Amino acid sequence: MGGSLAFHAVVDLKAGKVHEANSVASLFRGYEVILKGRDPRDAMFISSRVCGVCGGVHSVTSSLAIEMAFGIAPPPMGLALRNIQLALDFMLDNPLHLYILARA
Amino acid sequence: MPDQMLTVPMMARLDRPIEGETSRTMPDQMGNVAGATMDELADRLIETGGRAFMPGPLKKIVVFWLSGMSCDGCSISALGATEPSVEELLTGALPGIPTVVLHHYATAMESGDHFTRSFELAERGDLGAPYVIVYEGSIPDENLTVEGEPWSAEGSLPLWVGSEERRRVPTAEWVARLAPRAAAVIAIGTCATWGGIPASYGNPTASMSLMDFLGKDYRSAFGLPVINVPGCAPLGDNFTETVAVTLLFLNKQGPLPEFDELGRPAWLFADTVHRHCPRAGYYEEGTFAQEFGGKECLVELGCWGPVVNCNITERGAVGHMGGCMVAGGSCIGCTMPGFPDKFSPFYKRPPGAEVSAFTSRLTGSFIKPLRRISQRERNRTNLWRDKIPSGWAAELGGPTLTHRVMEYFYEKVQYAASEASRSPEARRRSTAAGTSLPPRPPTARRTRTCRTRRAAVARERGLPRRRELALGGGASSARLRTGALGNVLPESAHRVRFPRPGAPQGRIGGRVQLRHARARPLAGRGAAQAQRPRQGDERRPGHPGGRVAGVPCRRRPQGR
Repeated sequence: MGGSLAFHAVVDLKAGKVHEANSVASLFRGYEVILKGRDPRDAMFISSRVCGVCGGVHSVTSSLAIEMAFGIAPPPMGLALRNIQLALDFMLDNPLHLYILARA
Repeated sequence: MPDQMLTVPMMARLDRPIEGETSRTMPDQMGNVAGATMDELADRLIETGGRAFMPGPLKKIVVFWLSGMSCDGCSISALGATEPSVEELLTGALPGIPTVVLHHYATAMESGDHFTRSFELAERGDLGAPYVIVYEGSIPDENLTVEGEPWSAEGSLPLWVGSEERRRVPTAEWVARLAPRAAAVIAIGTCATWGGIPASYGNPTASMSLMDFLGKDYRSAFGLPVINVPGCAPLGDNFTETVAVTLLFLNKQGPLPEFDELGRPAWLFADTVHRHCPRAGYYEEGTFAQEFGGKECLVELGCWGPVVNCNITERGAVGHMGGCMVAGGSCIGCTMPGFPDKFSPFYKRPPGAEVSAFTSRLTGSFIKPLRRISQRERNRTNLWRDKIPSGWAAELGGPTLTHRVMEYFYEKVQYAASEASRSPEARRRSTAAGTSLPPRPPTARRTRTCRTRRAAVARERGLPRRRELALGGGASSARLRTGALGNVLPESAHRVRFPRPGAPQGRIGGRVQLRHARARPLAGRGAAQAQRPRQGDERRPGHPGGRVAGVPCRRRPQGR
């Protein structure tokens, strides 16, 4: 499964019963540890490398986190720009997930 | 929903398959209703692809795309490649490049155990085709894991046993098992090439690059060291191009590609970002952006472009469009082994930029004003000398005294020892009669040849008048049309003004003759005749202006 999640289930369709269901994350990189002690603004670059499909979303959310931490807000045009960028990222990652990564 | 979907029991098959058995008899794969494998798909493509002649010994080559500590971003960027595209590689559309059978965790037909089975076959050497490993993401130290659950895993082994007996296989183990027999090992992305972000400060998983994992003595079955295509994310075109040239080499259809001392394709990563940057011209003139959103050089905002080996400014992100600086971002050095620690904090000015930016500001302060003067002069046509006909250009005003003085000397230097014997100013003054020129000041008018007077003298000496030639009349033009020059000229050429044969490049026909000579060079005997001056020709052959000798100038009537 895309997104480094492994899922395994044994289902009896005729009986309508799930015998076994397991899921496991098949990846750990420790971004929380890596982000410690860095310039806060670098979080936007580094956390976007969490996912190559939805990196823009991670970038935007870390910028939101920085704003909350510092108690600052972007100017109205900056906010609009960020929302547009986020919408464009949705337009990239949703088709990518649906047509390639989900593959079922 | 098809009936088949309802009747197929969706459960893992627990018994080991017979060798050679296709998965079509094992309908237990999620989503793969036909039960086809990537190998069968490739065979079908090779059989029916319509390509009768494929040079080289290899028909197909298997690619195992392994994903370690990765974010899948390298796969996504490879999808965006255009030259060549992934589809071209997968369908064998490129001559000399074998059809690629791709085993990618996201695009494979098989799933579950059927997916990892071809890995096992490759390890045993039973695949029937050479294979290439493409590795994405860095490699963690699996000795550090807790209770044997790997940092990054792909599939579980052994195959065909119950889930409780299985062991999840680390990606690093697949690399160690597959690398010795691999035809080539390609690391894609900064994580796989240098370690990247998982291997930066902090690094809880003790990550490393593929090169570090396999060691400096590693060579593939074809004798290649690890091939590195860095970038976070890398350019898809860089990756597919490297794959294409490597496959050409493996298929004996191309030379060994050139790699630099770090295993990067040398033709892609020799230049820096700065050398092809659309903003580099601002750097040269010492103009730097002080905030994002402008078009100036971003070095003072934290751009590392001058020292980073990357071709994104030359190649663009996807389909030669976009790219970091084009989109307004500064370079954070994501293709470099030092990324990210040696380039952070990303928004801070690089220390080296203090020196270089100061120097370019210094030189730019001299260069910029001088360039403005030359640029202003060249923003005017030759005809806009003293009176500017356009309302737009008039807004700019006439040239100042300083400007004229600078231009005078500039032109002297520009045309010194040049083949063009006259400066544009001199050539402008001797423009052929009949061209409408704006009125000139008295100082300039006094030096001009008067066209009516000159025409009269020319008529006296028996030279054809321009008007005659233009209308196609007169003996000389008739001779031309019958081919006296010995060359073939387009019919349209006879409708324009034309020189007499044998006439030197004179006032009347010189310019026209030049034009024709450029369009269609004369050749053979006719050409020699055309160039030879006639006996008794009183004009001065070779005079660039072609002015008639000894004809005094008369003042042009006022008001023209």
